[in-house]
This record gives sequence, structure tokens and C-alpha cells, in this order.
Amino acid sequence: MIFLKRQLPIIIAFVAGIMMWIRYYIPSEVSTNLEDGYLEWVRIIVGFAAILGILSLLQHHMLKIRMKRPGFAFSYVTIAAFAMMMFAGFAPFNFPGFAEKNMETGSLFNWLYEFTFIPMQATMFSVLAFFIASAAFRAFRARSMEATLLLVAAIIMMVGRVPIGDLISNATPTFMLFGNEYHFIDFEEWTGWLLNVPNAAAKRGILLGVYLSQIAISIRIIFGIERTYMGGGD
Amino acid sequence: MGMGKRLLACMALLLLLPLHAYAVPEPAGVELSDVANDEGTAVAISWDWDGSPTENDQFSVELRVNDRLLKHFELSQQEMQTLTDARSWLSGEVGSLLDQRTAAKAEMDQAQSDLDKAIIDKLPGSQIGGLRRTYWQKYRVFRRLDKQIAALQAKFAARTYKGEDLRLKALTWEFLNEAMRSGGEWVSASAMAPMASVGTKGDRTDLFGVNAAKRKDAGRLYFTVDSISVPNPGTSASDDSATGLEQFASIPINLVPDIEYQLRMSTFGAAESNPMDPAAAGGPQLAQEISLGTVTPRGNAFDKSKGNNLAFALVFSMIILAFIILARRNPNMFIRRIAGLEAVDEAIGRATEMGKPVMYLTGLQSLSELSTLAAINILGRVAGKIADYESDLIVPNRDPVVQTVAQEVVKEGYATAGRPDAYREDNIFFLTDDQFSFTAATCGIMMRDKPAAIFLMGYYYAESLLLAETGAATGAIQIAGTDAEHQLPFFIVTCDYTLIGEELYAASAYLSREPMLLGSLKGQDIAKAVMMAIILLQAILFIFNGEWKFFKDLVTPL
Repeated sequence: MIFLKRQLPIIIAFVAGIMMWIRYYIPSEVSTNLEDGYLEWVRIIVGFAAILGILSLLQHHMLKIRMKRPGFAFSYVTIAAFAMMMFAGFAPFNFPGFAEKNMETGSLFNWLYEFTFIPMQATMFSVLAFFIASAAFRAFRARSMEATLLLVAAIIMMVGRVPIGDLISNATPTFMLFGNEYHFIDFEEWTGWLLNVPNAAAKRGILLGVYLSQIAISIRIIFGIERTYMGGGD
Repeated sequence: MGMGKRLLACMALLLLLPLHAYAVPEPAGVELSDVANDEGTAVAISWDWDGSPTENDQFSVELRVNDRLLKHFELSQQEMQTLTDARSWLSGEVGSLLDQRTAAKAEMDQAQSDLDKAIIDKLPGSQIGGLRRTYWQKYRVFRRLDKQIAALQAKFAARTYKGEDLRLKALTWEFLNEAMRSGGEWVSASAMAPMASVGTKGDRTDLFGVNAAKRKDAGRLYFTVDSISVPNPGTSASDDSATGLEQFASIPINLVPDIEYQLRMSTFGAAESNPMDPAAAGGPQLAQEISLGTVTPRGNAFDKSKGNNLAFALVFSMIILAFIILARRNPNMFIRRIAGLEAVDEAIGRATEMGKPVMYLTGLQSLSELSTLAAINILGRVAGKIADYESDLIVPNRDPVVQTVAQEVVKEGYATAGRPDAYREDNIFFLTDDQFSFTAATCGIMMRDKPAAIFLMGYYYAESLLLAETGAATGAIQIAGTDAEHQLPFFIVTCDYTLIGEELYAASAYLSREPMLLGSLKGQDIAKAVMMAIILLQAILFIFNGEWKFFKDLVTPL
């Protein structure tokens, strides 16, 4: 049992990890097929795992209803919506007023998806605008040097990205330096500099660290040094 | 004008044509070589233009069909029999379905047009309703036939796909053979490309930066050919039309290794530059067909363009492994303090004091992503601490595979802490795989259960702020960790602590304090220092000598 639970997963991780690493450098049909085959396996496993997911979802909500936990009424809505979508998707007949059955265009399932699911999704996404406003309000309070810098940068970015920024820039007087003409206030230039110099430098620094960390964690996993994800502890 | 003068004028016109109309640059100093592509088989052409091309000038590359190439695509008797049987089966099965589908489509289009007209003419609702019902009936008939034909074609494909697509092989052979028979044995290897925007060899990733000989011609034009463009010859004379199989405009067929190809380049001038042929304005005009020579593609076992990638990967792996070994000898390595991870105990302790649960999210990606694995690793460590503190842990998941693994990891964490009885499988559950549905459900749980501490680890997209802001509204202590650089500002603004990029990957090792894991962190820092030194050196070199591209070439393909 210890072999199945501990050693075998480590062996599989080692063999698969090394194989997929080498595969990256081998440009051949065999190598491409190997990757395709691996991805197919992933899809098959995900397919089976979806059943586990559905069972987990139902079990969780049933328990919530049974135990009358806070908000258990929402669990009724979840289970009813799940059952309705499943029935609409699998029913072997056309619902009245719908030209198609199952999940085809013109079916009840498709109608529910297009006219309930997508609008709800869009609603959730649009809430983001209000959340950004409240988060920005908190972040832009100039309580420290860093917060003040953030506030100034944010104002430049916001003004520079709307038409009034151009109007302000064009209204300010110009001066000559090394044969070039500059505006005293030039939001377009400033936003470009902010994005391309400090922002890009910070982002690249973060990404460099991320990529090196990914190499390190890959080595730890391939060589079985990091095993927490197997549920095996140390 | 007399006949003689007319003849002279025509001859003068013909003589002028090549001079004025097709003054297009020619390739000079052509070099052909074998290179690797994704399938390991490709050839490359390197050259300079003898002149300056305009944006309208174009070129294409063709290759000569030879017997060996033809032989490669020829079907064996057995393969031919399989294909013939499948075709005859398909013809029999499809039968009159194709005609029926054509008729059904015409009826459906007519019904659609009637309906549109009725709506535009504002006819009574009952009439429009009747027409709509008729349209849906016709639509259903058409879709049913369409699906039946598609299913039969899929069965046909399954019958003829024996390791390779026999139909495609036969079509290729037929096309190449036709090219040979008609005497125009040159077939297109690449579509026409503008002369002015061809890549240079300097853009190629197979320059390692250390090969001075190769770097010399880095500014030369560079073009890779990896396939032949084979138009599908299926016409009314072919059996395919009777079976309704999809008609491709052209299919790219990979070059066959170990066959010697003769290449030529055709150059095309812009029609606008031809004052003698105004009728042809608007399209490119063939200027010249220039022989480039012969080349043999090989089935490459190693992609040289990834050489520097391999070298870097090996060097960094060695550094990290060396430090892991060193860490076993000297376990007391100094690792800088990470505030977000120091606060884990504080967050869990607060949850215990308040009698509220801890919520942990593993991000929105699948388990095949490293950021999710890192989040799962941290979950294992955090679960152990939560079990120690006797708090509740809630883990909503977006991916059922991640959920299953998270259950195992948390169970093990509780068992290691000596509290297997406190583990509740029901608390690690799957919600939905849809991004915003998951967000809505998780925000709902946050508002209802009011967790005292929220961990947002892994990779997030647009929902990052929705989750973190809702968490902040509940008054929870929030620790986020992500390598999604676009979402970092949102977490920094709304969370109490944020693990930035690499800190997410370091967290598991940091929390475990295990020497071997900490050793890998140290190795990683050294590798980062090496990278920083290279970047700094390159920046200095660039300031003083912008021409020396050694380090740029070295790291660009990475």
C-alpha cells in the first residue's frame, strides 16, 4: 500500500516529468503524438473527475438543506437549476415552442443558456466596475509616500487615457530642448513612460522570478522532494 | 497606321514589357539548409535581395515533383482496397441524402425569406407566427439531414484513417501525378509572401550567440519551407463530390524527410508598376522564376533553435540541485523573511479566537498549472496548522480534479497534525467550472459564513478583485498569493498581505522549513542573481557598444 500511495506516484511524476521535458526538444511526429496522447489522457481523467465534481456539489447542497445551515434556501435553487438544465439537455423530445432538443441551437437548453446564464455572467462581470471604484478609493488615500506616488501615477494614467488629457496637453505652452519641442504638460508622453519604463520593469522583474521559481518547483516535484500535493506530507 | 508600323509598335511593346513591368529584385547569394520545425522536417532559404523591394512586390517558393516524392504518397494495393471500399460504402449510405439536403436548404431559405418579408411588411401576428413555425419545421428537416450526412462522413474518416489519412494520401498522389503529367511539375511550397516583410536570420532563435560564423549573416533574409500546398482535386469528376465530403481549398502536406527537393523562387511585381498592361492592374504579375538549388530535409532529432533554452535549463537545474544537496549538509540556511507567510499563524489564530472558519481558494486554473500545484502545496501546510488550532477550513473549488486532490491534501494535513477526526470532507467541495458563477458562489459563502481569514492562492483572472473586495467587506484577514502579474495590484490594494510572484512558489518550502526545500529556494535566488548579472552586463554593453548582441542572442529565445 505504501508503494502505491507514495513511491508509485513519485515514479510516475519523475518519468512523466523527464519525458515531457525531453520531448520539448525533439521535433518529430512521435514526440508530437506523445504530447497529444498525454493531453487526451488528461481529458479522459477530467471527464471522470467531472462526475466526482457533480456528486460533490449535490452532496454539499443536500447536506446543507438537511442540516438547515445558513442560506440553505439557496441550495434548493442550485439543485433545481441543476436538475432543470440537465433535463433540458438530455430530454429526448422538443419542448413546446422550441425547434430543437438536447443542446442544439434553438433548444430549451440553449435558450436557458443564452437568456439566463449569459446575462447573469455579464452582470457579475459588470459589478467589477463598482468594486474597482471602492478599491481605488481605499488605495488612493495619500497616507504614506508610496500611497502618494500611487495616487499621482493613477491620476496621470486616468487623465492621460481620456480625451480631456489630450486637450489639456495641447492647451499648455511648449518649450524647445535639444532641438525637440515639448509640452509643459504632456499626459500622453507621461502615461507612455509610466507604462513602458517603471511598470514594464517591475512586471518583467516579477515574471523573471516566477519563471525561475517554476523551474525550481518543477525540479522539486520531478525529483520527489516536494510531495505535499500527493497528500503524502513530508 | 500601316500594318508594318503596327507590327513594329507591338514588338517594341513586347520588348518594353519585361523592362518596365517586372523590375522586381532577385535573390542573391542563396543558401539552402536543413532546419527543424515542429515535425522535425523543414528546409530554410537564406538570401539577399539584389535591389530594394517595394511593399507590393511578392515572392513564392515552389518545389519540383520527383518520382521519389510520388512513390511516397502512392497507395499500396491493400490501402487502395480499403479506400475504395470505404468510398463505395459512403456513396451507398449517403445516396440521395445530399440531394434531399440541397432541397431542404432551398426550402429553409425560402421560408426564412418569407418570414423576413412578413416582418418587414408588418403582417398580422398570427400570419408571422405561422411563417415562423414553417421556418422552424424546414430548419429541423435541414439540420436532421445535415447531421446524418456528417455522421456518415465521420464513419468514413474512421474507416480510412489507418495510421495516416488514406484519402488525403491518395489526393496528394493524384495532385502530384497530375502536376507531372501536365508538364508543369512545380508545385507550390508556400503561399505568396510580401518581399518587404520577410524575416531576417537575426530573428531566428537558432542563433545561440556563440557561433560567430552564423552571426555574420544574421541580417540576411530567411524563410522556412516545411510543407507543400496541395489543392484538393475533388471535382465533379471525382467520387468525393458524390459523397459530399468537405472540399478543401488547399491542404499543407509536410515535406518528406530524406528526399532531395529542387526549389525555385517566383518573384511577382505589383501590377501598378506595369504601364503597358493596365488591364491587369490590381494583381501581382509574375516577374521571374529563379532556380534556388537542391536541398534534402532530414528528420531532426533535436531542435537546435532550443539549444540555449536547454543550456539554461541544465545550468539552473544544476545550481538548484547543488543547493539542495548543500542544504542537507548545512540545514541552517538563511532565507529572507516573507511577511505574508509570517502572518499565516496570526490569521489562523484569529479565526480560532473568533470561532469562525478559514477559507482557502486554490485559484482558477487546473492542476496541470504550476501555480495551482503551488497553491495545493501551501494548502497542505496551512491545513496542518488549522488542525492544530482546531479551526474549520472551507475550500470551494472550480476544478473537480483540484477538489479531489485538495481533499486528500487536507485530510493528510489533519492526520499529520494528529486531528484526523476534525477533518470534514464536505468542506472541500466543487462549485462550478464557470468563472463568474464560481465567483458569485464564493462571494455568497464569504458573506454568509463570514470567514475570519481568507487565503487567495494560485492564478486568478478578472474575478480577483471581486473575491478580494468581498473578503475585505466581511472584515476577514486576507492573504493572497499569485503569479498573475495583472491581478497583483488588486490583491495588494484589498488584501492584508500579498505573496508576489515567486513568493507563491516559495511559500510551501518556507512554511515547512524543511532543509531540502529551503535549499532549492537558495539555489533559485542564486540563479536569479546570475540572470540579473547578465541583464546588467548586457545593459552596460548596450550603452557602450550597441552592436554586440551576444547576451541578447543568448537569452532572446527563452
